[in-house]
Amino acid sequence: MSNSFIIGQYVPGSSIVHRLDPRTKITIIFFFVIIIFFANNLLSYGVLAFFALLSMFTTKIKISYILKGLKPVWFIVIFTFILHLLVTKDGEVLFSIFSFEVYSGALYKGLEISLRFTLLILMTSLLTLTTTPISITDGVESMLNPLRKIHFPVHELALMMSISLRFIPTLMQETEKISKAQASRGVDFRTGKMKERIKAVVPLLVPLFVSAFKRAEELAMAMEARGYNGGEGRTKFRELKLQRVDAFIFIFSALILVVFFFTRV
Amino acid sequence: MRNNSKVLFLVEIAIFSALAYLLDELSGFLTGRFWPQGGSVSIGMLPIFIMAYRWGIKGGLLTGFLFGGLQLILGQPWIATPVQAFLEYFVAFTVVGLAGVFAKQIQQGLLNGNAKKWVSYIILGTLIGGLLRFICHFVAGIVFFAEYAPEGTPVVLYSLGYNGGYMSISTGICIVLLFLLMPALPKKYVASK
Repeated sequence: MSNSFIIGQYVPGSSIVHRLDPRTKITIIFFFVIIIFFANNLLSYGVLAFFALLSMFTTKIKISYILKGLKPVWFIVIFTFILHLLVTKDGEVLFSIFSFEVYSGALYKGLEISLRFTLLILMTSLLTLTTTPISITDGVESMLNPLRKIHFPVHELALMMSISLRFIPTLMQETEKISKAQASRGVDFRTGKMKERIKAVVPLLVPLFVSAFKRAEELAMAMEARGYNGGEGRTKFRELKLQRVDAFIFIFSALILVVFFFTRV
Repeated sequence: MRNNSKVLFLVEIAIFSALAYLLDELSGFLTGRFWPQGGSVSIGMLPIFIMAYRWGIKGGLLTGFLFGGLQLILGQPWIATPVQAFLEYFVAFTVVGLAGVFAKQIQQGLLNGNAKKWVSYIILGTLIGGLLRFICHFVAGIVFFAEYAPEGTPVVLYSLGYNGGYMSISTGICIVLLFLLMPALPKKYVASK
């Protein structure tokens, strides 16, 4: 069960993309996701594709690995592409297969949609591939910090996120232990009708939930004992600091953005 | 004492969000990954409901919100348009927590052994949570396909069928599991006070 279960997509590495501050990466991807909807010709898509591919190669993660991660996405990309070929009837007839005519507008639209979707998924994947979940949390916390002024519980949310991330592996082990214990008593989760399988999960869920409640109690008590009382004046073990690379990448991305707006029609 | 229950609240919600993520990942044994475009029959909502019925609306909303966030940073993100991503990752799971409107009635029913009361309110609360989440995925689906599918595709119908399918089964399974689980949990974990 746990062998195939890897938490998150993070691939350790020491590339420039890996070393960037999470805030830099989040900001760039945030703008990328919005700006891609402004692309309106081949050249402007080309600029964005260039940026995405450049980022991908810079991570030094095996391309085959990245593409494998995008597997569930290929289906929808190909599906929408074919759908466009079948339905859209703009422009002139390019060629016909079995008396079915493919229009140039359909081909263009289909390619555009597929390209946009692929680029979006690729860029967002690069964030989770090169950044640990915990540094994404730290980054988001630091970026949302101004919201504390309006009493938005930024610190509490980030703390809870860190606790969640910390406990996923622990709870995973717990689940495995309980399911083995129950399996040894003859509980079968994997075969039988849906109804029987649902019934079989109960002896797994009850101890799992009870132990989660107990862990929460213990952790809360431990935090209390150490005098935890909210975010005010709390120091951090991992401090985020913008480096020169971040400035460089920011300027580079801004230049790409300028070029992008010149290529639009 | 009041402070203690606040820390316990934070920690419990955090751990149950982790549990939600875990159960969601392990739900494959129910139907396999049949839904190719994200979403599938899953018992991931179960911890959200349990927190909603223990701590009320606030607990439910927070558990759902964190669960959505965990999926965004740990999973394969499905960001097709900004609106769709916001709806599917932040709003959809958060609104499940609104099931907590009936927290008081369910707790009273369970503590007083009034089976009719807690059973009916659990059905009601869970249906509301499931329905609200479905609406989010449904709207996100329309936004998604309006952007990506050619004009003239029956977008509304497709989103209804696709999201309605797995959401109705998941909600049904959650209701059944809550019937079996809630009475089995120690009483001190049922109510927050």
